[in-house]
Formats: sequence, structure tokens, C-alpha cells
Amino acid sequence: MAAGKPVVMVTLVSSDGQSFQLLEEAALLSAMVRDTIQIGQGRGPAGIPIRNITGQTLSMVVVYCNKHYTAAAAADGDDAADEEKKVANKKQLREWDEQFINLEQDKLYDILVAANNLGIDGLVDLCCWRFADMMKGKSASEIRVKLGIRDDFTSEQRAQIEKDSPWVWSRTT
Amino acid sequence: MHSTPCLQTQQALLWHWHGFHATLSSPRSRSRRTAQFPISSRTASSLPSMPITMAATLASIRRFLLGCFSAGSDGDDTTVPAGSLAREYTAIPAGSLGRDYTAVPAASLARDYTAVPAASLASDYSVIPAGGPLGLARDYTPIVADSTGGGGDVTVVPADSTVGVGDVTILAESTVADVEDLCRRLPPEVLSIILSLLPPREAARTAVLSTQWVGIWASTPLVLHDSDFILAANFSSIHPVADMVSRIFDTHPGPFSSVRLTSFFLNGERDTLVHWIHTMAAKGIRKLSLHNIPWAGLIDLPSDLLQCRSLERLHVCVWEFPPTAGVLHHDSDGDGSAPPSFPFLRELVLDKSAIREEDLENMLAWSPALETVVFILSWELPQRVRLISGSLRCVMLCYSSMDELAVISAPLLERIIMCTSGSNNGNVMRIKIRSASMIKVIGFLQPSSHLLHIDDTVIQVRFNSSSPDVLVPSVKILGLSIRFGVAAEAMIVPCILRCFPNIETLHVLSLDDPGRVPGQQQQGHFEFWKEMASVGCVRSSIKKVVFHGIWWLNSEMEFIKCIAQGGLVLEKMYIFQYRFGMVSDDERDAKLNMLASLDTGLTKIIFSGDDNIWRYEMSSDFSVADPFACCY
Repeated sequence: MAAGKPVVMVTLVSSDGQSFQLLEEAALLSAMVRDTIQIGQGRGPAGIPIRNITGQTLSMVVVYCNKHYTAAAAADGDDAADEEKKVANKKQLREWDEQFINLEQDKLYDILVAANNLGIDGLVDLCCWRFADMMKGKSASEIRVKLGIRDDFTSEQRAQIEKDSPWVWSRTT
Repeated sequence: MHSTPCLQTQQALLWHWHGFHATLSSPRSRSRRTAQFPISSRTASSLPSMPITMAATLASIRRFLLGCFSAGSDGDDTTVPAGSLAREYTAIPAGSLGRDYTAVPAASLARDYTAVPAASLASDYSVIPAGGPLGLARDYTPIVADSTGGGGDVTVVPADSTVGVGDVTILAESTVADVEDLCRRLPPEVLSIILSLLPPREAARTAVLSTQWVGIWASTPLVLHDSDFILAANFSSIHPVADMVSRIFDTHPGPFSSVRLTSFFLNGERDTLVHWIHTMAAKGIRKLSLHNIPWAGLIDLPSDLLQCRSLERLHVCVWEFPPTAGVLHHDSDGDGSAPPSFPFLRELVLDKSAIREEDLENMLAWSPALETVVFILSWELPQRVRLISGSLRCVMLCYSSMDELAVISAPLLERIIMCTSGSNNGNVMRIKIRSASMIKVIGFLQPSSHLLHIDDTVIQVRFNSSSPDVLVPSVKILGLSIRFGVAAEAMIVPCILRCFPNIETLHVLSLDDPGRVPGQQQQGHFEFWKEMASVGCVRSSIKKVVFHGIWWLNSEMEFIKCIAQGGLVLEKMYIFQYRFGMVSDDERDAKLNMLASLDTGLTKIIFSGDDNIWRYEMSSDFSVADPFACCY
């Protein structure tokens, strides 16, 4: 963190009333927070109310924002010429991400929905990557079980798909 | 390029395995397969008395070769880590694939299935095949009634009830009655992101997951690799694959994000290819890889390709580039008044392809955003490459030979990357650059086959470069491939180094000396390297030296020693052993100890047994400062 910069904190309040304080720069990873602050709100003691996101989920999101803000700040401070260190740091952050997102499906849904609502692109991409990873190489029914998807096709609809897009049947390993 | 061989081997193995498998399957299935397979049926018709197994074997050999050529050096493939590729293939159980096709033929399964009256099943509960006919046995989903449909529709399925359909047994489970669909919480744009991260074939299949997923594939930019269908079709025939591609092209509304076609074309199928190219042009194709087979019969790439304005990356493999003279762009008004233009094209890869000098120059002129041009295995076609481009940042020659590479006017050119296998059949390639340039990276310059021109001066042995005219101050990273045992090369290296006063990183690749007797250390040539210590950049600007493929020759050690002792600002030295090194560990350790004991300013000597594999994609990745830095 650069010296001499005033430390500004922001408070996020979850739907069940829990408050989370974090550095404004970290909170700015969220487009929603960015917009709120831009129109001159959210800096007061009341904080920014985050609707539809519980404290449990929001705490995870805050952890993610803090980690990514710290990593970005450290990268800025580093000697720009040190390519090896940069590559190593990037790799480390990626490993942290993968560890962080290694969650059960319901938690993963909560975080993805939250990240999408808050407009945190990096976290949305990370969750989507994890979902895609869970889907890879699985049959349709395995994917449904893994992701909690309910098969709601009527037989007519299914026949229609089969007729319109035969390639979806191409192989089902 | 170095990674290609291993990839090629996997691909080849896979193809080969399929060929082998075909000959082993039951007589019934074999005859059917052979009848469907156009290559083998052609082969069979030319040799009418040949037994079917022979024909199938020939076909498998052909497919084996086809695999090597079509997918072997594909740029897109190499971005997939080799390991994962292998996993994906080997994940197909050898037996089950064959069983699926032989015991339960796709068509007959579908027929069997529909033979069971849908209505009678539906009266009890709705039977829905989850994974489609091919995967029915594995994929059958527990029956779920639509609980949202209205009262009384919720069906309790008896746990012990089974419904047999042909070979397929449907097991009903009572556990899944009414689950909340968690996925419903996600908006379509998020589903689209997830889908875009899946392999192309699996992405298309998400349409069968639930009604929520229908249409997501079509609204996500298309990624299509026809090799997926070739694998899925179990090589029965190329025509269903082509039909499938045609249908997808017609159905998907676009944009087409990435398309890779490896189906080969006969001359008679030119119309299909032209139709595809037209569709791709109309639907905004961004990344296109077109692979051909040398003996397929169609060599000239249709000039319709020049109408694909939206291209961002174009990779052509084993094609003759279409003539560009007189070609006009068919704009929407149809008056065709302007030449073609590729306002978004950033990368052009000419892979085992031929292009005329003037066509290349036209392509450069028509592509105002072009950053990277790559030649792979290009042999004297074109003979000269003259670079005139306001946007070009990187030019790369992989195992390519030409008479001349001249930077005429390319103010943004940063990288000249050359990757050769050593001997160039005695051909000398002229590399002409300007002293006033932006070039940051050049390598690997090979004194035996490259002749460097700076402005109009040829850099030769004993050339006295005190004049500032022949300095290229912009170069920070230099790669040299040297035959350490050859005196002439030893003498020219200091002359080359003097032209680049500001090098910070020096990469050295040690090439085998054809005259060297294995196991015998050559004598002499040490005195040439002594001159190294007096070269300006060695003394005062090189901070890092990376030695690739060391053989532990005395001349190599002498070179390292001179650089280490002469370099006043040298900080790090990386040494990578030749992959198939032939010195004993003791000898190697002794030599490393000798280096470590030198009284130099070096802070680090890093030795690694194995150099990483260099891939051409890394060299055009501008976010990586050192394109040769594959070693950490």
C-alpha cells in the first residue's frame, strides 16, 4: 500500500444485517459499489446495503476482494522489470483462487449470484470456470446431479431438439 | 513448435488406435463400417479382390497419416496442455466406444426406441432419454414429473419398475421427485459464460440439460472444431461430419467466435467449402483455422476467404494462398469498388502454405491492425518477405527458409523470432533491419545461415563497428544459436554482439557441430571467446545470460567463463542441459563447480536439467516481455 494515502473504509451491510468493513479500493472491485460511490453515496456510517446477499456469502466475497486488492497493490509496488516474480505471483494468486472456489454447489451458486449482482467480473469468471470444470467430461444426467439442474423437458420438446440440433447428441461421454 | 511432436504422437496414436479397433470389431459391424467409410470404399473399389480387413487396415494407415498432417502442428491445439488432451482421449474406454457402436448401432437404437409407443409410456410417466440415443444406457435420467404443471401431475414412480428398450434398461428411481433447480438462479448471460468455457462439443450438448439451457448455445458466439465430430462419428465417414458442419453453420445465428476445420476436401467438394466460407463471412467469423491435406485434391484456397472482413486470427495450413491481385471487396451494396480489408486481423499464420510475395504485401497493406505474422515450414515460398506495415509487432519464422527477410518500413516491429533446426541446407538468409527501429527482440540469429544487414552494411567477420551507423540500440533481448566448435562462428559472434549495445538478456542456443566426433572434446577455438570480454554490451549491459542446450564442451565453458568474467553488470546465469545430454554427472558437477568458483559479480547460477518447451504462441504474447523465457 502506498504510503501517505488516506485510508478510506467502506461498510457493506448484508441482507441479514451483518456489517463488513473493507478498504474502499478493495470494495471498488465491485461495479455496483463503484456506481454507488460515484453518485456520492455509501461513504456514511450506514454503509451500503447489499440486498439479497446473506452475511455468510458476503463474507466470502469480502475475502476475495481483499485478497485481489492486496495482490494488485503488491504487483504495482514491485519492480516492473522483474518478470519472473510477476509470473510467480500471478501463479500464486491463481492457486489461491482455485482453493477459494473449491466449494459445494449451493455455496458456489450463492457466490456466483452475489458476484453477478455486485458486478465483480473476476469472481464471476472464477465461479463460471469452476462450474465449467465440474461439467467437463460428464454426461447430461451427471451434470444435472452435480449442478442440481432439473430436467423439465416434455417428450415433444426433446424430440424437437433432437430434430433441430442433431449435433447435441454427437457423443455423450 | 517444439511441442508439436508429442502432440502429433498422441494424435497419431489415437488415430492409429481407431484403425486397429476397426479391424477387430465383429464381422457384421466391420462390413457396415467399411461400407460407410468413403476412404476405405474407394480403396476397396480400386482393389476389388482385397479382403475387407485389408481395406480397413489401409484405411487406418491413411487415417493415421491424415491425423499426423491435419492436426499435427495446429496452433490451436498447442494451446491445450498436452496432458489434458491425452486425458480427454484416454477417458474414452476402449471397449465401450466400440460396444456402443457395434452392439447398439446408433440408428437402430433410435429406431428401437421410437418403436416403443411414446404415448403408452407417457401415460404412466414421461420417459425422457437424457443423453440421446448413443448414451441412453449410461445416461438415463431418473424420471421426473413436471410438478409445476398443475395439481395431480406429480408422478410417483415405483422404485422397482423397469422399462426395457432394446438393450437398454431404464431404471426408475423414486428418490428424485421434486428438486429445486438451483441453476434457475443464474441469468442467461452467466450461463453463456459457463458454456463458453466448455470444450466446443460439450458446450453444444448443454441444450439437453433443461429448458433453461435451450438457446444459450445459439446465443453464445460459436466455437466449432469439426474434429469433435470426426471423433464422435468414429471415422465412419467424412460426409456426415461435413453435413453436420453445414447444418450448424446454417442454424447458428452467429457471431462465429472460433472455427477450426480439419475435414479435407476433394476438388469436387469445393462448393461446400466456398459455401462455408461465405456463411462464415456473413456471420462474422473471428478466429479461423483451415487445415487441408496435401493429397486431398484441393490446393488453392478459395479467394472468397478474402471477403471475411471480421477475421481476427487466420491460420491456413497446407494451402496455396489465393491470388489477391484485382480482388475487390463485395460490400453490402454489391458494387465491389474497394479492395478487401481486414480491419480486425491481428494474427496471420501461414502454416506449410505458399503465398506469393505480392499477395503477402497486399495482405499486410489490407490489415491495418495486423500485429503478428507467422511462417511455419515455409520453404522459399515466398522467397522474399518485405515488411511494410504500420501495425506489425512480431514476425516469426519457424523452420522456414527464405532468401530475404527485409524490414522496409515497420515502425512498430518489436520482435523478429526465428526458430530453426540447425542446418539450413547451406542456404544463407539475409536479414535486413534498420538501425533506427523499435526492435526489442531478435533471435535466434544463426551465424552459419543468417547474414545480418543493418541499414546497408553487412555484418561480417573482422568488421570494425566503431561507426555508430550500424548500431541497433533498441534491442534488449538477443538470441544466438552457435556451433561452438566452428571457428568461423566463434569469430563472428563478437561482431554481431557489437551491433546491439543495449542488450540486457542474451539467450544462447548451442547447436550440434556436424564435424564433431561424439565423445571426443575438440581442441582450440578458445582464444576467439576471449574477445567477448571486450565487447561493450557484454561488459556493461548484459544482466542475464540464458544458455540453452549445453553439451558441456570446453568451448562452451570457455564462452561462459569469458562472459561471466567480462560482464560487469551480469547478475544471473541460467544453464539448461541438452535434452539428451551425454556427460557423466561427475563431469557436469565439476564444470558447474568451476563456474561457481569464478570470481565474478554473478549473484546466481541456476542450472536445470531440462529446458521447457518453446511454443510459438508464447513468442507472440506481448504480455510476456521475453519470448524465449520458457525456462521459468
